[in-house]
Amino acid sequence: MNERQEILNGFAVEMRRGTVVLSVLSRLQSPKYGYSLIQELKQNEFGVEANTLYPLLRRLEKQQILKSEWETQGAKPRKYYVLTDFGKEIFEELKNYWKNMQSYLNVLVSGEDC
Amino acid sequence: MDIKKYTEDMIERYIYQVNRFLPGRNKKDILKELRTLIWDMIEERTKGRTLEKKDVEIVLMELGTPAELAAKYGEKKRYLIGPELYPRYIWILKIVLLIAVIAGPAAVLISRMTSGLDVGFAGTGQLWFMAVWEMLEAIFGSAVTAFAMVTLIFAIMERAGVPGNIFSFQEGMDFLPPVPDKNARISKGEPIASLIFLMILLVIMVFIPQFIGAVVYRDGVMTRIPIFQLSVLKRAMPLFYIWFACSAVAEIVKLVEGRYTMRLTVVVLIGNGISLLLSIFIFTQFKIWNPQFIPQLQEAFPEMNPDLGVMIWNLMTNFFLLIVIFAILLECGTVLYKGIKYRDYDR
Repeated sequence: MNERQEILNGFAVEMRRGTVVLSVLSRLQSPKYGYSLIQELKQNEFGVEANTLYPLLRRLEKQQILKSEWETQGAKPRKYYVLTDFGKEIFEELKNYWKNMQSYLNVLVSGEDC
Repeated sequence: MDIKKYTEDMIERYIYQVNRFLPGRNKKDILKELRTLIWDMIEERTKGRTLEKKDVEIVLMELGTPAELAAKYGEKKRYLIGPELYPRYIWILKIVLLIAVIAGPAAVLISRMTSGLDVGFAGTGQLWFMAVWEMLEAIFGSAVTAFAMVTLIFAIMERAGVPGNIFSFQEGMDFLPPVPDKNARISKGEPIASLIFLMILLVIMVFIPQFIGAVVYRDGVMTRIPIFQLSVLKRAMPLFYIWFACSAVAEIVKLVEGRYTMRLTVVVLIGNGISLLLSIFIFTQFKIWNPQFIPQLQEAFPEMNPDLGVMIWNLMTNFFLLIVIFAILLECGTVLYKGIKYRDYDR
């Protein structure tokens, strides 16, 4: 990888990192297990890696944003995560924050007022 | 080995390693979830085709090494010294390293300059090699020790959650004191030089006090006449340690403060006050000077004028305390004068 690519990737990774929580919360209105979440988010380049998502789910659960339940009926035991009421509140606020940030940045990057 | 078995084995190996590095509670729960994840990922890869050896390998590579993965589950700090303390750490480390790297070898050099005579100058080539080697050892040894001590102290501070502004004792905009007058500043060099001197003095007084004195060569025989009465000096050592600590604290405060302030004046006055009392106490209450110094010298040099020797000795031992007192009072006067003159910079 050349230097230009490296610099670009550094910024891109940084930018994506901030949005991982929002994308995860957005998908957890209904219960899902980790790997199904990965596949759901993997549709494009903004996907999240398993080794990032799984620890993140644990952290969010500890912060009581998510709650979980084991499902042992299937072939493999799976842990399902879903938003708590507190998590829903946090998600709503984060969503608004994101929208504001998005419109602000859109104005900035369009450069119309320059 | 059949593929299924190989895959299972590799997964168990991986899980076992993750378990080793995984911190805290919920280990079993995490590992159970992880096992399912790995199988999900493998199935996603094979999508109905038969399992291959490389499938599990690629999946595990994707997850990263067990230590890396386990670390991502850890919430504890993953650094020894955090960004808050780091600038202070580097600032102090540089100073302590400088002092150690100069004072350590200097003490060795001083001791060798006197004790090296014991060996004589036979085989100078080898002696030089030994000397250089010993110096390098001293530099390396002091540097490593200093580095380890400072790092250890800061690592403990980090774990204890000590805030980054611990050294400034200030609130709000106080962290930005006014730019001091040029004459109110204390350059780093002055207290660092004093600290180096103190360190050398400490090393000599603790380890090689017998080397301070006269070295006499007579007919190829070397005798060393120490200036101190070593047994008495040993008893006075605890007081000397206190004296040393007071002096060092005053210098360190100068270094941290970087200018004359009333706060600095108070610290230096208290430290010097204690030093003064200790000096007087040590030199008047302990017979610290070696009473055999002049007689022994006389023995070595019979041609020496006995009266002159005794006179110089008495003059020296009596004046020594006066010089120490004068030096301490001089410093007290300086910090008091400058502290009052530039007190406007205090709050």
